[in-house]
Amino acid sequence: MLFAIGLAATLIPLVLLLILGVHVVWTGWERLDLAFVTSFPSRFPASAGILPGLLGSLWIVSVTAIVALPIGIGTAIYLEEYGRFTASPNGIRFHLARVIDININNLASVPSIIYGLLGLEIFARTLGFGRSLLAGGLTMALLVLPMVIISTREAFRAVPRSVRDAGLALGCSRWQVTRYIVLPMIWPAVLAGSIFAVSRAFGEAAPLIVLGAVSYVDFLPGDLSAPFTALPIQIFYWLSRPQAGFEIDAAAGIVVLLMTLLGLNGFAIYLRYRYRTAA
Amino acid sequence: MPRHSPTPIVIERLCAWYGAAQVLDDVSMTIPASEVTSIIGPSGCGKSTLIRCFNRMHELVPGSRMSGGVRLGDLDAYAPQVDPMLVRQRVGMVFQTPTPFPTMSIRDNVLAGIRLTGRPKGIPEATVETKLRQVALWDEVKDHLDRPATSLGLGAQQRLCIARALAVEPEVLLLDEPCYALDPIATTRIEDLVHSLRENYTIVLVTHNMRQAARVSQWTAFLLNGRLVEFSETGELFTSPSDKRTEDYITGKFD
Repeated sequence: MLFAIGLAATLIPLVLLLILGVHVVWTGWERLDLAFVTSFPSRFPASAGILPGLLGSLWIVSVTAIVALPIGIGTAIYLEEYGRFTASPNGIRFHLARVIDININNLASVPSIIYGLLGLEIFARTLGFGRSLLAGGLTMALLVLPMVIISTREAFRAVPRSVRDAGLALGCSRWQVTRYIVLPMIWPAVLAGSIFAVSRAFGEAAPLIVLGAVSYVDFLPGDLSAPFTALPIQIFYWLSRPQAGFEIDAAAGIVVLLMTLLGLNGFAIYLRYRYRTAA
Repeated sequence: MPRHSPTPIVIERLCAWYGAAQVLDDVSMTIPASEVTSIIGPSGCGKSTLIRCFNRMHELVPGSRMSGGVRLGDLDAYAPQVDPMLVRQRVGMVFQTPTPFPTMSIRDNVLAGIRLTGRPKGIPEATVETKLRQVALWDEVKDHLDRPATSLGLGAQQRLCIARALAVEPEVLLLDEPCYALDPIATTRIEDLVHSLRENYTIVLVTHNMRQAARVSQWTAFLLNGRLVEFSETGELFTSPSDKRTEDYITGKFD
């Protein structure tokens, strides 16, 4: 009985998604060509393209990755390799690590629009980055940071203590053990987790809407201070247009977005699989 | 050959705790150089903790504490200016389950300690051969040194771990139930190996297996509830124990 419920719970969303996917591809098919990817948006649906949105998304994802991955992986290394193995259960550092621990898990479940508001206030206004690519990327970095930390910590936890002890017993420092023994064992899993996290920044629209991504951009962003749009934003605005032609454009945009995300996540799953069979 | 000559380990009034639980209570003994000393006793009696105090691994457990002293020859292992990493380089250790580094080849495993600790070294290839010969593994693996260390059988993995520990040129070798995960044939080979290494190192063997202690060690210490009950020559301890508790343990009255 429970098995049947589980199966239904898995299959129903999958089937619905599949139907949606087929419908979207069917609708957007006529616009899916190279010109669609390499053109600017237009007031004529038939000649509109996603180039600024796609590039804007890529810029944001790059900023997100550059900022969130070193901080996130560094935090995970600290919490797992240093906090967990060195903090005395009664010491202040142990309790500090617990507080960080709980907060990271809470942050991972904060709705993304809240991050948008936070980014608007801190990055766009207080720090004066304006409604720019930089502000967008930094906001997304905040959003994915907890996910990067959580997935990296899980990877570190899969390494048995005995391996670390063996390295330490040879006279290696904690850092040498982490860098040359533990990290090489788990980097595919760390990378996979990072891709999963960063790909979320690629598909997320809500924080960018709050932050003021623009809907109509007829230039390519030259640097990080430029106003920008992103692929999900472009799709969102097309869908709100009355002309039927833009619906087709939106469908085609969704197909590009989904294909990119599926590609990224597929690569991450492959890495995870490789890591499992290697370890 | 070891860089230093083997040194005795002098333990003075050693006590150790995990949090509030005391696991070693006032242990004093002198472990002789160039011989094999077994430490026997029931599970949880503090055998592993005792040897983990020799190479300062005990202090790595969060909440652990110790008092008393350990000297390795003329080196006071717990002197304030002594770097614990240096102590660990002079005291090699092998664990219950083989722990080859899974991402490294057989060759890289042997060299791992030398490379990571930045020891001045001879020709790496020569070290690999010398150390693998020392643990009687060379003929078995010489044609595939680049294979992952995890491709070896468990017994060979454990001998590789011993070679890896010896490559750092320690004076002391601590073996924490090295045959725990091994079959009888692999166990015999480790015992033969311990025997052949004896002259050049001070070897301390923690074991559950009293027959193993009797086979390979010249000295045996019996530990019970964190206290050293008896420490004497192996033959004497097993044939005419001076303490009633030792006699009860070796005759199987409890375990």
